[in-house]
Amino acid sequence: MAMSKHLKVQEFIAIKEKPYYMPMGKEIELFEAAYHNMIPVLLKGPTGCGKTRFMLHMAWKLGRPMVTVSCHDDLTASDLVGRYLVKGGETLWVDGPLSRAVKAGGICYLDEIVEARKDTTVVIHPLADDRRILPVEKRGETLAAPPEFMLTISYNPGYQSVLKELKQSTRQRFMALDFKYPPDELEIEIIRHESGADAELAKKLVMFAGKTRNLKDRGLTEGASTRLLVHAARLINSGIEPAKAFEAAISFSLTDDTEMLETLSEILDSIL
Amino acid sequence: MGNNHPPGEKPRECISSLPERPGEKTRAKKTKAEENNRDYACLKDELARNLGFNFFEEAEIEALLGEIEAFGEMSRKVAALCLQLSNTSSNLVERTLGHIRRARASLPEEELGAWLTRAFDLLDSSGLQQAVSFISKSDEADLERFKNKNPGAVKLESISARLELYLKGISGMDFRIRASGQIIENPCYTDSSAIYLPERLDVFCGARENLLLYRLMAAHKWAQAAEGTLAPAFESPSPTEGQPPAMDAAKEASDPLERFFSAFADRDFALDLYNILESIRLDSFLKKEAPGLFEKAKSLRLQLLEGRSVPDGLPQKEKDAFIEGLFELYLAGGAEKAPYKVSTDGELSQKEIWRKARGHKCAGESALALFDLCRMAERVFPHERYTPANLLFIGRIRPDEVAREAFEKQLALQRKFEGTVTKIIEMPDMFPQPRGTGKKTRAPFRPAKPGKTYLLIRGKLLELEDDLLEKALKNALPGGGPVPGGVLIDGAAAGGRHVYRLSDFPFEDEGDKTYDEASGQTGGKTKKTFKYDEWDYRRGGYRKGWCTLYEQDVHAGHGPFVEQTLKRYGGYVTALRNKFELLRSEPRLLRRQMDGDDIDMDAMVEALADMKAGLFPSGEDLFVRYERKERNIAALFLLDMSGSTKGWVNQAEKESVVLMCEALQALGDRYAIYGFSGMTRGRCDFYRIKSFDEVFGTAVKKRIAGIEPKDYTRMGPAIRHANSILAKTGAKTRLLIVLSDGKPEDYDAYKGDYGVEDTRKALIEARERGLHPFCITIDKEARSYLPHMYGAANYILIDRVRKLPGRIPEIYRRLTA
Ligand SMILES: Nc1ncnc2c1ncn2[C@@H]1O[C@H](COP(=O)(O)OP(=O)(O)OP(=O)(O)O)[C@@H](O)[C@H]1O
Ligand SMILES: [Mg+2]
Repeated sequence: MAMSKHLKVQEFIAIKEKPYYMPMGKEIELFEAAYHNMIPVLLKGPTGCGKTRFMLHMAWKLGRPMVTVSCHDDLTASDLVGRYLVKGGETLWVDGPLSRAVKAGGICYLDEIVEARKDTTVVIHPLADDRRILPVEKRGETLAAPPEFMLTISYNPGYQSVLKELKQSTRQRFMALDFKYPPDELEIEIIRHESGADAELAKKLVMFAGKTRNLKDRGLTEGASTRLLVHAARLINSGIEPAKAFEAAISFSLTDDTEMLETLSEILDSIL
Repeated sequence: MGNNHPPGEKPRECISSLPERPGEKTRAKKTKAEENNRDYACLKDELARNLGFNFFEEAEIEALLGEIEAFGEMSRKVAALCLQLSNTSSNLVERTLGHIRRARASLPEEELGAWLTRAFDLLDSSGLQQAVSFISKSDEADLERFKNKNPGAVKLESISARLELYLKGISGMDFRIRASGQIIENPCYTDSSAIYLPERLDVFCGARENLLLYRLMAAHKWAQAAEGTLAPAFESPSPTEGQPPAMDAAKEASDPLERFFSAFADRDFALDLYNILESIRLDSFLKKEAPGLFEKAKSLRLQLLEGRSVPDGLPQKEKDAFIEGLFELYLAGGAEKAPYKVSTDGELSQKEIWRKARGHKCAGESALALFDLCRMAERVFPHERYTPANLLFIGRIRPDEVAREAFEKQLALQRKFEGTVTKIIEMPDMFPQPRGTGKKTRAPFRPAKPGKTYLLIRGKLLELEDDLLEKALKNALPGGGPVPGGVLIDGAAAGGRHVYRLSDFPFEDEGDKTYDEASGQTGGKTKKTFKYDEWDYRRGGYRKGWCTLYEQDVHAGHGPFVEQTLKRYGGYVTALRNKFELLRSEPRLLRRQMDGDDIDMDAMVEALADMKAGLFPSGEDLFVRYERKERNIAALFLLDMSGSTKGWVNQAEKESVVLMCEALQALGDRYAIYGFSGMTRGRCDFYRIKSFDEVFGTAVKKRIAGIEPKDYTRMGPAIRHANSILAKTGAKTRLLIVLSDGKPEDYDAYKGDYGVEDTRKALIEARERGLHPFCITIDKEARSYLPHMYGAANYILIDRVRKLPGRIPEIYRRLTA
């Protein structure tokens, strides 16, 4: 029982098909340079702006397998490094995703690192500086990461609890890439590619997103993400009436505040 | 347009939706008219005469007079109205009587009187056209609305906050919405920062349509502000013959629009024409930026167009008719509906003008077209003077208001500049002279760079370090500005002068001497004194022990403020308590405990496996335990008690405090509440409302009731003092929550950038000490300095004061969840 729980969380994938990613700037070049210089990378940016997609793309581009761990506050160091299991009366050591990535020379992507407990976060410290080692205490051994191994973490610096902040000693080990929502033309392109929407619809979606982003800190915690726009476009493609799709996929997921929802629907009304 | 139905019913169709007033139609009492009233007889005589001039048959005249007679008590008023109309056109009399008859069918006697009075008022204030258009709206729906019973009327007051938010979203710009103050006909304009709208709209009977009209008005003004309507730029110089009237120099500089329009002989005509030309052009902007609004506005515009039609022969003046025609063409979106054919030999064909205006790329082109059109109009309609029409949602252009706003902005910039420069020129020379001889040279000689602009004033060369300053300066100097004798020169012409920088100068407060430390100490014995450094951004250093802070209790207030607030928020308080209670007692599963409620399966399996593998188990931590997570949080609330919070802000702060206390009592976090105000660095007052150690009891409640606005807002020392109080709590998470209503400002030089920079620094210090500062600003305007000032802190802007008490517990909850 425990076994399946721990093993299911992460998938180790070798990416064969090119994941679509639309670059915003020089992030691909920067990432490659970091990779070749063995500098770990921190991806910052609001939710749904393409961080995960970027990672998939880079893993494909660099030809490395990638393992993603979504961090949560019950994540222990063993979950990352590995543990002994009992199988048919025998003990069996099972590597955690981090160890596997180190051994395979793959990319380990720790998503939403701030969610992890602080004592778990420190496990990555020796890996993320120039020692590039992973101590596996239980086995009394230390794994040295090959040059192909890369550690990447992501972090959403938006509005969040003061209890969940990335420690300086952690963040200062990484090169940081700052992700923003794409500029209009590119975002239109992305939506079209991801959903098959026509230019007209994609333009409207991006327009509406822009207006919701204007309302950030004026009642909205965050504006509409690219992900939400893709969702809305897909709904519309499946025959849902645009106004309904915008509402369900975007407005409702942004806020519960009735006044704000009214304003959003007024704005929507002015666009559709 | 055809398949696009209006968003609601047309005004004229409202009849069906309104219940009929029982018995109304048969109620007309036939009171005998006072036939011997001499005035009345005169009125009738004159009316008969006017009708006669217009070739009315005797019998016709008799019939009309008879009809007037039939209005009983109202006859006199009706006769007077008919007489006035007959002065213009006798044809109107007949039609008007018809409308009045219909009106009488649905209005009770006294309201019919009011209705007629309104027609007279309009005649006097807005002219015949408006009056006739008012009278012609005599069907039941219109009359219902007149009776002010239109359920669909929308008040600006009730929607302005939402409208502002809407504008912020749709435009990304920060507009304020204000009431234009003219309830009836004159409607909307913008001064480029604020948009002025009518206090109430009941043009349509549905609230939705009226709301849409508000949005249309606002969006149209946004388009004007965003697309340069208020600052047309064109190449050819203004066609003024004479010089524009002499004006205050600085004012004139910021007043190009006023100057532009004063060049036209018929200024009102030019204003309205320009407004329409621009509106035609701005349609494409609105269509692009707000396609949905534009589409919906189309049918709204058609309805407005319909409501606008007035009987033939109006307006009287050709010039007025020309504008009306063009405006209606605009309303119809260029469709062939233009009702007024103006007999000009094609020169002023509205259709052609409309077509051209659509192609304009910028306001400058409209302005140039305006010159041509006005010149032509002078020729085609000589000697006519235009009477401004009511142009509905496109409103008016108000050069005076635009100028006032621009002037105020300019003034603010100049003041800022004035303060700093005056200081410099009054400074004794303590820096190296160009050919420094006897004087001590403390700073190295700094030469001017060619190609850069400097201010030369009283022989001193000043570097323009700040963009804003440079702008203020460039605008200010030609007109004399605040620093007479200053000129801008290029670095190449500086002649080996030393370059001064504002940051070179020790910066002195003006108010220093008036308040020294002793004067602050006049209060009771309970005051504790503290000294704090203050950050001087010009020096890039602290002024040591600069501020004296007095910590004292707030005077206990009278009245059961806390109890009243709790009552007022009744159900909400209960819900709040529950919510926070939940947060507190939310059980957390602690893994790998020495003992506990259940076995930790994961740990167990792991330990067993470890043992099998020959490892010594790491411990007996094989249990899980449900436990309340220890919330080791201390929060200090710091309230702005400056004079500017007087009224609603203070009230909201107090209510927020009450609700926070309730919530935190339930949650069990440690908290303290303090307020701050004061006057000058010699007297920074720091008021204790509740310290960390005190309980939320009678004394604290009384102090909450006693929170009231005091003097100024010197935020730096208050934040520093709060920092040190918080630091002493030893809590793991220390939260500083500052509530203020805007800019830090004190009686002395603690203003502008200085105050902003010191506050910013104090917040950075908080961060550096491991505290978490969070600022809540209650302000309608998202001021541009906020992100900089709060750089080190998270902050949130609350634009509706009344929302604060409801929001703050939620903010706290999210901050500490
Ligand atoms: N630059 C881009 N190129 C291609 N697709 C993109 C891009 N940006 C966003 N997307 C689209 O947006 C969706 C969401 O992106 P993704 O899942 O990578 O977001 P994220 O930044 O990882 O969000 P979170 O922080 O919530 O995990 C993607 O599935 C993809 O459809
Ligand atoms: Mg992701």
